[in-house]
Amino acid sequence: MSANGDGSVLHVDERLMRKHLQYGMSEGYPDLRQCLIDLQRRLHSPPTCDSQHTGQFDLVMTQGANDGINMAFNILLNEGDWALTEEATYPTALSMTASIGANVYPVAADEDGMLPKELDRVLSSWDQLHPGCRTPKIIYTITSAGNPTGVTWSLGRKRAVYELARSHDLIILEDDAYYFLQFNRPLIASFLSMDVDGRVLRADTFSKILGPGLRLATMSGPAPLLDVMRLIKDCSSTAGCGLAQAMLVQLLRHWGYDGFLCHVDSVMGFYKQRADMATRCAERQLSGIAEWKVPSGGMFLWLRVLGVKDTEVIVQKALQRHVILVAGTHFTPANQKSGYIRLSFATVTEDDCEKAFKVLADVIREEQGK
Amino acid sequence: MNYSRFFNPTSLARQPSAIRVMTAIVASGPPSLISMAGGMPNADLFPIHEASLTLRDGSVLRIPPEQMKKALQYSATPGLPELVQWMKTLQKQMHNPPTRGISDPQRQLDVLITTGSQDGICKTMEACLQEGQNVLLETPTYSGTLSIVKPMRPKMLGIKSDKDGLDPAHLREVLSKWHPSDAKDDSSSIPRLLYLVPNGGNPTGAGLTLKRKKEIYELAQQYDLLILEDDPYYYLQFNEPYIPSLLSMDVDGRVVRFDSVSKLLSGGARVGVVTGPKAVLERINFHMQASVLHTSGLAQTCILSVLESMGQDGLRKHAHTVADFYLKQRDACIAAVEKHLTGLAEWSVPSGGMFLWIRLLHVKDTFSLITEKARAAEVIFVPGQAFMIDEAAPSPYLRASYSLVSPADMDKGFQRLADLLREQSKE
Repeated sequence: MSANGDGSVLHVDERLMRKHLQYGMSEGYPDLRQCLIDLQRRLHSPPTCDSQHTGQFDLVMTQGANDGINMAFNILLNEGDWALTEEATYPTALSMTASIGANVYPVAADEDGMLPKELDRVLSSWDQLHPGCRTPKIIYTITSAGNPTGVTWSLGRKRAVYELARSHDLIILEDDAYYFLQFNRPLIASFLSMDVDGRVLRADTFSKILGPGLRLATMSGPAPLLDVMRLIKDCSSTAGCGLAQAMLVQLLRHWGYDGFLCHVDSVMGFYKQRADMATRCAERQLSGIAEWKVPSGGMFLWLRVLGVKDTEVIVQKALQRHVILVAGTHFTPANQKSGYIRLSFATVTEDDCEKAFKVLADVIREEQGK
Repeated sequence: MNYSRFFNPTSLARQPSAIRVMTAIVASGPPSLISMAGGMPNADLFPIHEASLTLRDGSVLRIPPEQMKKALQYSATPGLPELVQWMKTLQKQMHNPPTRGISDPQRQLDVLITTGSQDGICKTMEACLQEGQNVLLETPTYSGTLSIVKPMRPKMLGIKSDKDGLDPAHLREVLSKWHPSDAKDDSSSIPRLLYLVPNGGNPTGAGLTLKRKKEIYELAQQYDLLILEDDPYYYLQFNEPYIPSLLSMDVDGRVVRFDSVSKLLSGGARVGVVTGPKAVLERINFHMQASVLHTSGLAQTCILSVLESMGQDGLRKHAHTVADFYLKQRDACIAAVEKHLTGLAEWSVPSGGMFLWIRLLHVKDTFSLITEKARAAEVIFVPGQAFMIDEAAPSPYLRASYSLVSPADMDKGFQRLADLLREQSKE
């Protein structure tokens, strides 16, 4: 195969190919898995690497971050259990918890992440506020360039919430799909990197940096939980696609650690340019009628439309005028009315972005005028 | 057909993912559509540009940049359209399913590409089974399916099988506890699902005869069962013409068929095909949308590339070559057991696949013999209890695989087993 940009040609030789065309172990093919364990160690220095730790650091490959998150929810939550998340979060995660019959309680957040005071209040007064309901077991959050909000948790915020997770014995399900797409460097340290207890289950993925079609991702965290994931994978997707794993291991070997970081930085740079472009378009078209925070990473702009409580109508009208956006209601646990809209700037050209924002502005003004 | 009676409440509550619906709108919309909706990353940034695959015969297949971009991007949950189409054509050629192209939107035949047929079976069982509910399973059966089913804690009703596969007489007997009209009663405990491996059975190597398939299908019609036809060894049948599948006689739309490329092209690629009524495949689809999203685009593209280069006829020729190899292996295996185990064991000659199911005559339970003593003697088999619904019950069986081992090693292996058995009988 040939790698874009540098034109080099990589080989998966017959020996490697044979291994990877045959059935593999559910945690992933060993050569790639070891590579990825090394990567996690270098990036996060998990405190639980010591083999004596009951929550010893382990890693299992999954069919995408969604697959790992879905397994995590299924392992940790029963019908009637509670998970905590931000007020606006990833819709697929919400449908996963709904399938289990578990409940999601939204905790207020700001541009640095979940508010610790709020989280503490919710947990400390849980029995009074929700008599008869089981205490929450997990926090689910997208910690870098969150979907849909574009928020990246600050380090201080992560530390504060980790302490609360310790005192209330919660598992933190850290969905870090956009980790490398943080616009600032150095990368903000993960929950995994501070996880002295072994209470963090972390999802990483190659979807945004190499391609989602590969279906290559990892879950890292405490061995007892990952062992259950192995068993689930044993009877479902097993090792995942061996071919894709063969290609990835050769690519990572070709790049080395520094080359890999170089690549993710260039991907990030591209999205940062797009974010700047989208923000400028928003300033030109939407000032005074909507507000937004400049994305700290990723591919989404999270807009609040002023004076409009339910943006569904706006999104419908925009669709009629050939512009597709996503209404904020889809990102709330109970599909509540939302004054927000999510826009992706990942693939749109500057011209189209300008056109789309103009249409949006027109539609918003029509709604606000009512 | 009332399909909703087959699905559990969790499955029935599944909705299409809003994001995937939007992706479909974008894909089918006019070029003037400006989408800022999806979370698709920008494909211009994907570092893998193109690839070429070298086949054993020396030919080289290319995956050019445009195709590679599609392979690396998010794609439709049911599978890449070209691969789905190829498989639909194959299924038409091989099975001519009666529900192909009918107008009923629930019963109409559909195809889904899953991460191995293992995941297809897993998602189907997860859509259908409930704790305490009766489910009909051929016995002995594939251990991988037992590992899916057991944690869901249904009541597993074992249907006996022999060298000709699942025994319809026993199925009839088990079903006779209910009346066919019970199928219309939601509160009835009547089983709703029947799972079987019709060819090259794992572990038995048995092949269901056509006569038995017809009887089984009639019973399924009488009692309104959904049949899960798990057929990864279909192309590894040793006799031709291939015995017609349950799908080929499925006038009602009650067969969900699982095919696999694992034994023919690659087990590690993780590409399986589910063929069956739209109403059932939709449930699997929604579950995939909230978990794996879709089967690896790269795997699908590579497999499609190989299939297109072979063509439908080439695939059949390749299947013959593979089946011939396993037939020779089978014959070597039978020769070895005849030589070493006559008087110590009995077995039926497999009609397909890669397994020999051996019953030891003087051993009530093979577990410790196989897992400890045989292992110490450096020969490895699988003890029969791995394939039983009740794994605690003693089993005199063991499964031998003849797929990887050379005839010389088969001879050695069965010699070692025979020596152990003779030692054991002296004790």
